[in-house]
Parts: sequence; C-alpha cells; structure tokens
Amino acid sequence: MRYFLKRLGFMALTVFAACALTFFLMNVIPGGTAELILKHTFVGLEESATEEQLNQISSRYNLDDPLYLQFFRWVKAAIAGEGIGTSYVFRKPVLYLLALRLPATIQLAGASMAIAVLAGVSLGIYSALRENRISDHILRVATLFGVSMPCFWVALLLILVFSLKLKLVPVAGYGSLENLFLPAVALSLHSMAAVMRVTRTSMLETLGQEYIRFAKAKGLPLRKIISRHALKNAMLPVVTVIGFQMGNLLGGTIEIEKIFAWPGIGSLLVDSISARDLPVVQGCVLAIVSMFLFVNFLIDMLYTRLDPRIRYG
Amino acid sequence: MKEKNTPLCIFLITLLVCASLLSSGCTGTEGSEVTEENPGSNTLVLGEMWEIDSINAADGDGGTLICEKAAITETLVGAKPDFSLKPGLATSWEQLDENIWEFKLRNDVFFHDGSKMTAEEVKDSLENVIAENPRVDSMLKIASMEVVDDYTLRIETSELNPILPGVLHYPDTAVISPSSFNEAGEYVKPVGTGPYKFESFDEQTRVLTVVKNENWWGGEVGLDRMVLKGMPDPNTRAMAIENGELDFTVDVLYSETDRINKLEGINVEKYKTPRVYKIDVNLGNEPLEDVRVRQAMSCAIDRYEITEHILYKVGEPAAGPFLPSMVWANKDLQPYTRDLEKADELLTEAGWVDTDGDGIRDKDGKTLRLNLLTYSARPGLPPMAQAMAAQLKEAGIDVETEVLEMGAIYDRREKGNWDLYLAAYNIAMVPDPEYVLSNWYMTGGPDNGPGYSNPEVDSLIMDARKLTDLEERYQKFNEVEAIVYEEQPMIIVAYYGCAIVKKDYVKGYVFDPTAHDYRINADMYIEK
Amino acid sequence: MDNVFADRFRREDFLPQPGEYGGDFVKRVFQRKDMLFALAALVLFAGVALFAPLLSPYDPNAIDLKNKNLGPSEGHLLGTDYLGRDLLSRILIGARISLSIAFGVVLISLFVGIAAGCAAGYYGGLVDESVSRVIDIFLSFPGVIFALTIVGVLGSGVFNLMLALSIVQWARYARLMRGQVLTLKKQEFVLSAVTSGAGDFHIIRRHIVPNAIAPLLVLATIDLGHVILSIATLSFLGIGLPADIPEWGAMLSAGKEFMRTAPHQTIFPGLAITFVVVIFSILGDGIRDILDPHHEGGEMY
Repeated sequence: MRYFLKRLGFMALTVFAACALTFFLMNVIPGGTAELILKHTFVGLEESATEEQLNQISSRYNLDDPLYLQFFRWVKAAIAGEGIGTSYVFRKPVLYLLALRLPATIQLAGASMAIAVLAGVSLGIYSALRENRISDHILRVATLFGVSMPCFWVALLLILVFSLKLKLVPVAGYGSLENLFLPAVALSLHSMAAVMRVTRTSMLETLGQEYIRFAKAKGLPLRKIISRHALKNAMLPVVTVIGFQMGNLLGGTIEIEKIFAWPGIGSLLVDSISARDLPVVQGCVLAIVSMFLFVNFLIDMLYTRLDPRIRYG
Repeated sequence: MKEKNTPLCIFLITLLVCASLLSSGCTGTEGSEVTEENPGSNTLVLGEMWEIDSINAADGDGGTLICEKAAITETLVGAKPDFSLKPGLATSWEQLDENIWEFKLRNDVFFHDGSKMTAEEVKDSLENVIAENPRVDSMLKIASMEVVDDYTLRIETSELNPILPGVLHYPDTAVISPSSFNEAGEYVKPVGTGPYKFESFDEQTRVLTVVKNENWWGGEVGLDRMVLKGMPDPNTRAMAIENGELDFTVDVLYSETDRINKLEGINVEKYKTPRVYKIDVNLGNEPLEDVRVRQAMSCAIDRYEITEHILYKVGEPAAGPFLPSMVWANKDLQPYTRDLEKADELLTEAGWVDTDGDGIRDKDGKTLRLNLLTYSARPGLPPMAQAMAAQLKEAGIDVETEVLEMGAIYDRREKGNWDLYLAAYNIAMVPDPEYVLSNWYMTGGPDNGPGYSNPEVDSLIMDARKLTDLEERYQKFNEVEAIVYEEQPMIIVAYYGCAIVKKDYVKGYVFDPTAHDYRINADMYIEK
Repeated sequence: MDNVFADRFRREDFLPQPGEYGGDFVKRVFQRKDMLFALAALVLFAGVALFAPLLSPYDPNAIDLKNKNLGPSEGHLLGTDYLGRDLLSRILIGARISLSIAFGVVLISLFVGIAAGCAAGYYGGLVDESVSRVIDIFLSFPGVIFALTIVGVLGSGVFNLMLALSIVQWARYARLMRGQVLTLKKQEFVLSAVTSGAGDFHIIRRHIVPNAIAPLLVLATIDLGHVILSIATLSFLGIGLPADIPEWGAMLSAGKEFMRTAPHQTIFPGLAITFVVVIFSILGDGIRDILDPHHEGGEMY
C-alpha cells in the first residue's frame, strides 16, 4: 500500500516535470508566440501582422508576463480545479477539447496494441518453436518488411488495397469499426514486429535453459513446458517491450491521424505546436504522459508478478 | 499460485484494452450516425482542404469557411470576377466626405432565425468582429457607426480609408444575427443570411453540416444539404473522391490532377486564385542591394518550366503582383522570361564574375552565395525552391534552400539572417490594389519584408489614396507596378492555382476567383 | 573483418576482449552462413557509402525538370525523381548520410542508455528513483516537441537531426538496461562478486554489462533501421533535413506524393532502407546467439 502511494506521488511528480519541460521548450522554440497565434487564428500564415495587433494578442493572453508567472498561474488553476487553460485557437477550455479528442486516440492506440500483442506474441512463439525452419524464416522476413516501411507509407498502401481496390472499408472518417480497421492495422505493424521479435528472442533464450532441457528430458509434453515454464519467463522482456511500444504508438498516431482524418490527440498536438497554442500543447502532453505512466504502472505490476525476483517496496 | 496467475494477468490486460476500445468505440459512433446514414438524394459531401477547427465567423479560418465554403453568411459588399466591387447585402455605398461613408442595405433579407436584417443587426455584427478580430479592426479603421434608418448605416472611419468597401468583402465581416450568441454573449453557432443554414457541427469528428435556406433572398438554392469534412492530407482527399466518399474537393496533389481527371465520372478544373508565389529579397544584404543582381536573378528563373513541371499547370507564370484579369492590373507587364545571357550581362556589369572557375560568381574575394527559406504548408513551395536554386546556379548564383517551420522563419526574418524567402501571398485579401501595394512596397509597410523604400512609390500611393475617381487611382497604381517590376524588390514567380475536383454529376459550379480558396455558389446542384 | 557492433563495444570495454573469448567469437561468426552474408552485404554498403561520389553516374542534386518522374531506363538505371534528379545517384550518396545518422543516433543512445540504466538498476534507491523519473519523462514525452525545439533552435542539419533523434531514443535503452540489471543484481554470480569485495565499476563492467547487453543489442539493431524511418516521419511532419540532402527517409517521404504516378520514387529508397534493416537484424540475432552467456555454461541456476 505504501508502495502504491509512493508510486502515485512519483507519477504526479513526473507529470509535473513534463509540463514544466513543455512550457520551457515551447518558449524556447523560435518564433514570436503572439505572432504565430495571431496568424493562426485571425490572419493566415503568410499575412502580415502589425505591432498593434501583436500587442492586443499579447495582452489578451498575458504573454508579456515573465515565464515563471505564466507557468505558476497555469499550475495554480490546474490544482485549484479550474481547468487547464483555454485554447487560443479553439477558444474552448482545454479539458473540453481533450474530452473530445482523447477517446479517438485511446481507441486507436488500444486497438493497435491489442493487434500487436495478440499477433506479435503468438507469431513470436510460433517462430521460436520452429527456429530456423522455413516458416520461421518466412515470418522473420515478413516482419522485417513490416518493420522497415514507415507508417504513413503502409497506411497509404492499405488504403489503396482495401479501400480503392477491394472497396471493403472507407478511406477516411471516424466513428464505426469499419473506419477503425485500417488505421489500427497500419499503426500496429511496427509494434507487432517488435513484440514478435522480442518474444521469439526471449522464448529461444528460455527454451535453451537447463531447466527446460531438463523438463524436456523428463518427457513433459511440449505444450505444458511452454505454458507452464517457458512462457512465464519469456514474457518478462516482452512486457517491457509492450511498455516501450505504448510510447511509440502514441507517437505514431500523429501521422496516422493526419492521413485518416482521425480526430485524435496526436494531430491536435502537432497542430497546436505549430500554432503555439500553448494551453492545448500543455494539455496534450499532460494527457499523453499520464496515459503512458499509467500503462507502465500496470506493466510494472505485471513485472513483479512475472518475476518474483524483483520486488518493490 | 504464480503459475496460475500469469496467464490470467495477461488475459486481464488484454481484456482491459479491449474493453476500453469497445467503450470508446461505442461513444464514438453516436455523433456521426446522423450525417452518415441518411445523406438524402441531393446532398453534397465536400472534402475541405484544412482541418475544420473553428466555426466562429469572426476567426480568420472560421470566417472564410462559414462565408465562402459553407455559404452560411454573406458580406455587405460582393466582387465580380474582375475584382471590381458589386452590391452584396448592401445595395450601394457612398463616401459622403473624407471619413464618412453611407451604406444602403437590402430591405428583403431575413436571417436564418426568421428575423429581418436591419442596420441595427449589421452594426452589432460589425462591432462584434471588430472586438474579436484585431486584423479586421485594423483594416476597417472604424471610429463609430450610426444607424440612420432601418436600411441605412453610416460609418465614420478614424482616418482616410478608401479601401473600406473592399474590406467589407472580407469574409470575416459577414453579417451574423444576434441569435448567433447565447444569453451570456458567447458565440454558439453562425446564424447568417446565406443560401445555406447551419444545421450541426460535430465537434469530435469536426464535420459541419448545412441545409438549404428555403427563403434565401437570392432565389432558389440548388442543394438540400451539404456536409463539409476537414481532410488536411491531399492524398487522402484524392483517394476519398476516387472511392466515392466525396462529391467535391479541392487541391489534390498537383501531380495527380491529370490522372484523376482521366478517371470515369470525376473531372478536374484548374483555376488561378488571387495569390502569388513570390520571393522576398533581403535588400539589407550587400549583393542583393544591387538592382542588377535582382534583375539577373529574375532573368535566371524559368517561370514557365516551374509552372509546367512543379505546379503541373495549377498556376501560371506571373509578372506583377496582380492577376491580369483584375480590373486594376497593369496589363503591359509580361512575366520575365528566362534569359541567361542577359543575366550574365547584368551580373558582370555589377562586378560578379566567376574568377576561380568553380561555377559560382565572386567579387572582391566574396562568392555569390545565398540562402532561400521556405515552408512546407503549401506543397508547391519546397520543390519550387529547389528548382529555382538549380536554375540560379546555372547563372552562377549558389543558393541553398532551407525548408523551415513557420516560427523559425519569423525568427530568422526578424534577425535579418536570411537572403531570399519564398512564400505564397494573398493578393486580394481586400479587392483593392492599394491594400497590397501599400503593404508590400511602401516604406515600412507591414508586408515589406525586403525593406524596400522608394520615395516615388510612396508618393504615388499617397496620391492615389486621395483620389476618388477609380480610373485615376488605377493609373497611379499601374505606375507603381511598373516601377517595382523594374526594380524587383520581390521576385514574383507564379500565380497560385486551385484544382477543383468534382464528380460529373455535380452541376452548376462557377469558380469565383475572388474567393480565398474556393467559394460554394448557391446554384450548385446534383443531377444523377 | 569483424563485426562493427561487437568491435565497438569491445573498444569500450563492454565486452570481453577477443583474447579472452573472442577467438571463438570470430570462428562462430564464420560458422553462420546468414551472418557471413550480412557481413558481406554490410561491407558492400559501407563501400558504397565511402565511394559513392565515384560510383554515382550523375550529380545527385542536378535538377532536370524536363526529365522528371521517369521510370527506370538505360540512361537512369533507377529512374528520376520529381525534380528530374537521378535516383540511383541519390540513393548511393544517401547511403553515406543515412548510415551515418543511424549509427550516430544508435551509438549515442546506447552509450547514454547503458550508463543511465546501470546507475539506476545497480545503485537503486534515490539514484534509481531520480533516473527512472527522467527516463519516464523522456519515454512518455512526445518526441515531436523535442525535434521541433532542437531543429528550431539549432537549425536543420545532419548533426542537429542526430541530436534530436538521440534525445528521444536513449531512454528506451536506459529502461531496458535497468530492467536487465534489476534481474541480474539478485543473481548469485553478482552477489558473490559483491561479497568478495569487488568494486562497483568492476562488477558492472565484468558481470552486469556483458550479461545484460544481448537484448540491448537486439534493440539497437532494430533501431538502426528505425532511425532512418524516424527521419521519414519527421519529414512527413515538415521537420527534418534541408531539402537537397539526399537521405533515404526524406526521399521516401517526398516520394509519397508520387506513389501513384511514379511509384519507383518510393520503392527504391524503401528497398534500400529494408535492405539495411535486414542486414542489421541478422547481425543482431547473430550477436545475441553468440554472446549469450547463458549458452556458455549457465551460471544462472
């Protein structure tokens, strides 16, 4: 219990540090903030802005205050539960925007992760059991290809095949399971390959160990050896990799969301960065970092379960 | 115990993921069901080229969308294809004295909420956009407004502002009803006077739906319903219209326009829009200060090759800042044609010769090396920059292209750490020549990136400001155009194009060259 | 001829010196056909990268708009790109740039990651907590923000891009290393080394790193290809290298606009990337198989 509390405290600290880091970085990126806000909201990217207009924007959003004061104000409002700011571009509370966009990203990342784990682990085990046989080679070569194509390229190819040639699913849109299929598959490919690779590697490692050889020699059926002994030990690195991949997936959603016009948080983040919509960037980072930490928290819990040699507390 | 728990744990995690997936999937479906399932026979699905972020009529992008693309609102002043002004919601206007204007309004216009549009609502609407949008405020320069009677509005400007009627063509100034706001005064939805009424905006999927306004003052409206979807990726727009998910879209990849045009049932039309690709030349840098170097550069650039091979003819070579079709354009100017001999002559005259035989000219031990900044938000820019760098190199000028993020460009320009900047500028934000010429070429003008200063140009523009006779005004502006054509403080490369992609069954579309990207006209209809 | 990876680590004292168990190592490499093939291919690629200016038939940046988007032909073996530049020359010159970025990023991240991971896992306590928090932040933080900041502040260029990508990557290695060290720390051979009074650095160098490194190397090999793909992604988002640097990932991203009218512009750079990924994956697998201390006699149980 104490461990949990401590862990939660650290998570809060990490989130805070990430927010502070964002705030700092966003103010380091060159380009006058007021100018970019003005151009993104009112004027158009290429048009001019007068000094007067800039001053008006600066005073509207208190951009001339010292940075620490701006950040302090933001933190104070967040802790007091007054929300985490209002978007410059959308003129809506950031929390409201996140509530709109987050489900789409969770849905996309969740589906991709499910595909990646289910397919990756089973293919990995299969491949390990058939080490150096033809099916193993085919699978490995296939994953190599999967891993060596960029997400956006795969996505475009998938659209070409499944939407234009086979007419099975729509090109873009959001809402139904049909719409989810292509983006989820395109996004999961890299993670699937990574999970498969690690599963295979660690499975082989485990299978090579003496207690497994011993169990084999004892005449235990292979299925039992795998499910009882090998899988458990082999899962340790796999679980770690799943944790890594969560970050990758959240990063990968950006391009996928752009291509499929998917209303998620990744494209919101990128657009907000280029518009210097600081409150929204802060909100997105807050959400992404918290999501990531939460998943990793779960994974660490799983870790202790899988390997009793590691103990926290 | 441990052995039993492991698979269970994995199973639980998977279950959790699936559950979150399903739950979010369920909530996701509800919103868009309405628009997806019953499209109706006469519904147009439009693939908009930008993300639909805002439906606020006073925002830059939101205003353009609501007024020009969704046709919900209308402006007081309209514009003909040659960019001369025509009546809109205002029937006529008159400059009473230097700073006072009187606008007569139509007396047969109703808002979508059923109320009548009078001078009172127009005043409120303008006051709203002035308060909300600093840019419109600074263009209108309105000091006060007075309602003379129900259909007469008198506007007093704080200084002489001959472009006022032109600014009132700007989509952000479109008239909205007071019922666009809730009781707390917050903007809720656009209630306008246009051919289409706002129906819904799904904030999650960002799909905007509008329906036919049965009582439009302008007559019969062609479509029952229009669904606007933001699709920022040009590849996606192309594939979506190919797959039958869209009926109308714009700006697919330029390289694909010909391929798509050949497809059964889809046609592509290429138009010029009021926007130019131009290079700002940093006159603060020593080699570029010399007018001969700038002329030589303009001679070295092959505008025809660029529009042909980079823009795939979505765009045309340009001479001056105005489209030849604009009523005030100086029609005598012709685009610089490529002439390497002349470029060589000019550069040699300016003292730039290749003495060390490396292909790059030099002078007093300094090589002619320049950087060219541009950005990637408009797909034609980066390849155009590279092509021009190659063409300039043939004339002995070494140009390094840098594709940067907008913020980095502002920063570099502010610090003066740049030589050339390629961008696509709007030339009819306001349908009046003064706006562009004074912004670009007047000493200290807000868009005068090069730092150009020519007293003759300044005085011509100042003189024109005082003239009310349009012919005389345009004469002055033609002179300005001729001067800057000669001096090339900005190298104007090409007119921006727009590719309209639509299904063959979409009829009645008329391209409006005065629109910012494209305008949906009320006569459009579907005939299957 | 030897394996770059193993070589590199040996130099940094992470792996046992060849004298100790490396003669065996070389012999094993030669026993594996796939590794031999991969090594040969790697040498070929390295050669191409080194001698690219001599090999390439055209200037990679020579623009010829009239001959744009040409398919493979005798004049241009792999065709031309959207500006009429010779694709073969660009891919050859690009080998040098892409490979050096990939190696640079992976080596920087591996080095930083191992150091941070060892410190966290081995010392535990406050060190672990603080390093882990930093790792968490870097892992969960959207890399785009870093990339934009670095490219924005320092300007776009090969080295800055390397820096931007390393900042995102190192944390993955650190986390993996930490996990490995946590497991190893509790094991007998480490515990006995501790009781025998060996110094921390000695234990880390001799016992922990060699035993923990196999999964990191596997990750590193995957990453070599990934880095080139990350560049493609950054180009997709409009951040990346100056436009005229022929880099595979950037070529792939620029070519996607022509994937239906002139698909060879993405296929060839894509194949080049795939080829490199395959080579490094085979090598990575091979290294794991050979170096895996568990196979050596299993001090584990």
